[in-house]
Amino acid sequence: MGDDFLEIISDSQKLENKKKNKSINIKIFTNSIINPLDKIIKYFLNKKSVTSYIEYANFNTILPSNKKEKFHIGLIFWECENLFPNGYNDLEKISLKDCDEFIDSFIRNFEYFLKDLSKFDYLIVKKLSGINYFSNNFEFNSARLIADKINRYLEEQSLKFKNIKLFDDIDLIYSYGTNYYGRKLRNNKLPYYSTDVLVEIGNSISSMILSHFGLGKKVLILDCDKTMWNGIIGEDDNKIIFSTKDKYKDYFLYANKIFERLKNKGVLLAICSKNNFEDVENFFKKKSKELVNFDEFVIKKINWELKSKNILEISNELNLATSSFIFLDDSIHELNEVKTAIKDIDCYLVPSDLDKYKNTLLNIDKIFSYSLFKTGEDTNRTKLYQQEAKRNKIKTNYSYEEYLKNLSLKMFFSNGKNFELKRLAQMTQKTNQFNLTVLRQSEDQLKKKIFSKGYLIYAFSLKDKFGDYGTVGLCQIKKLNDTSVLIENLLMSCRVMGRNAEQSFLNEIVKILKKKKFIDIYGLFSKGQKNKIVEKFYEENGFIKVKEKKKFKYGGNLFVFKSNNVIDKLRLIKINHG
Amino acid sequence: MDKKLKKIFSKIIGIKESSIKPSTSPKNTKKWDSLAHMNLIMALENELKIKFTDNEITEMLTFELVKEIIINKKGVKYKD
Repeated sequence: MGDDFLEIISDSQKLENKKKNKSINIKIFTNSIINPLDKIIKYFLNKKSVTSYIEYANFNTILPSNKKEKFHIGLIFWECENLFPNGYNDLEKISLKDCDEFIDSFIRNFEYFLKDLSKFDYLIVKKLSGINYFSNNFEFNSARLIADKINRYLEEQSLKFKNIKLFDDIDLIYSYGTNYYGRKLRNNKLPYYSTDVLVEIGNSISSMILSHFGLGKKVLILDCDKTMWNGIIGEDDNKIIFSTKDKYKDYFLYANKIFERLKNKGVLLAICSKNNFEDVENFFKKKSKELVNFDEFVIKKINWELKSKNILEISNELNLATSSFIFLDDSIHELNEVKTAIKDIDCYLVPSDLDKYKNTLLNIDKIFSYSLFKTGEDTNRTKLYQQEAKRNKIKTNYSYEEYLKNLSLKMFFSNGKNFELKRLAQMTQKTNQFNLTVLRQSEDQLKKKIFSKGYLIYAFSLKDKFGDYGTVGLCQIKKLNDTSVLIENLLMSCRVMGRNAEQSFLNEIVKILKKKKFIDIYGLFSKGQKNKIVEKFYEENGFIKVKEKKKFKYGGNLFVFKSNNVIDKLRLIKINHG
Repeated sequence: MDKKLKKIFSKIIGIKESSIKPSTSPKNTKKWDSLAHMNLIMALENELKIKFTDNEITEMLTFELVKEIIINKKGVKYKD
């Protein structure tokens, strides 16, 4: 937050804009001038160490180009005003018949675009807005009628095609009012939106993009005093808090409602507070009607340690990067301490003017709403992590081997076609750490490989006595010839790291490949932004580095399996083949 | 007086502050293309809290002219 337009453009200017192996490639389709939105998106992606290539399609068109090019993201950014030949100037002259023609024309274009949807892994479409601030016309008019009908159509499409996601900026229109627009659309060649709004739009869209690649916000860490309630429980009279004497109690009731709502959407809530644990726990019990249930917090760090230390521990225990955290606290001093120690965390301050607290909460709510995918798995997140906490409890009492034995792990190993395609593709998009080559695949690309004779695709799901982790591993193997294969990518969800599952998985793969009479089994490691953890995976599991690279088009380090090595030494996971 | 303006020019167009002269223009500065011009106007408006008219935008042909237009704009107190 608080990113300045001049700095954004200046910093973004210095970034390279080239299609690269690991860059996220984005194409923007627009009918209004939105420059420099590309630079703003690039800036926010780069802030999270994500490189990007962004280009604009021809102005005023949503026709995909004839070239056989593929993009990770397509961004359709159309403004209602520009659908009319003279903007909103002749809005009053437009008949209902004309309205239908505008709607039909947009839908025709969009349907044509959908035919080529496979060129994009993920499509973000901005909803149209029919509100015209310049004439101060909030009344229902033809523009709103057209925008509403087109938006309804877009909503239907987003339900039909799972890779279409809508971006709605109506909250920005209401909060910025006339400052939403920089100038009238038809007046000159400058952007329609004010610079502040462009920055907010760019930030929100980059959140949606990051989330698609598993880099969105997942955890909200909350301080207690003056953040969840108005007062200090160790010092103030606890009876006043949330009583009629508490002038600002409504703001904090609202805050707790937002936290509860976020938790229900799949956000993990955690507490990081300098307090006595018992005092806080008792207060939560006493105020159970007003506050989020104490048990809903996946981790509670209530002690007198440095907050940055506690937050790093939360990251460690949840196995989630601090870049996926938002930290909310009322003390600028605490926020600075955290921000200095943890560069990539996003911090929000509870404003001293509590009338502004609602806006802060809405901003946080918005960032999370762009970060989340509404799948069953995501809304169950708190449960999954609570199961994990139970596992961690037994972990402390046993040795590593005993702990794994105690979990009674069961792996279901099978051909890729026996798993949900959507989940397999999602793993290639969202897994960043245990991902040997960070090869991102769309559902279509993966489906082709699963049914191709040139590929062998295997996956696995895992469960233990505490619960089911779901589908968590995928391996794509390319047949090079009758005797050799290349493991093009092997990945595993970070939620099952540290269970020896990767070794059991690789072991099963090698066994099957040998059964199929493949002699040379190659494995590839290609460096991504966050996969350093698996840099030595092949070497640690019976493979040796190939010094002389064969003619592979892939970049990275190549390894070959040494035939008599044992991969899975522990053999603690029961394997079921399907 | 030039300091703030030069800083904005340098950051947006991507050229060194020391290389900016009164005669610096899109014609003699490769990086000052139409997109950079657009960003420049937005940044100037944002930093100096002013709004340019269409005519002013088309008249901004050199660094010196941009400076004059800003000074002449009513209500702008221009200080370093």
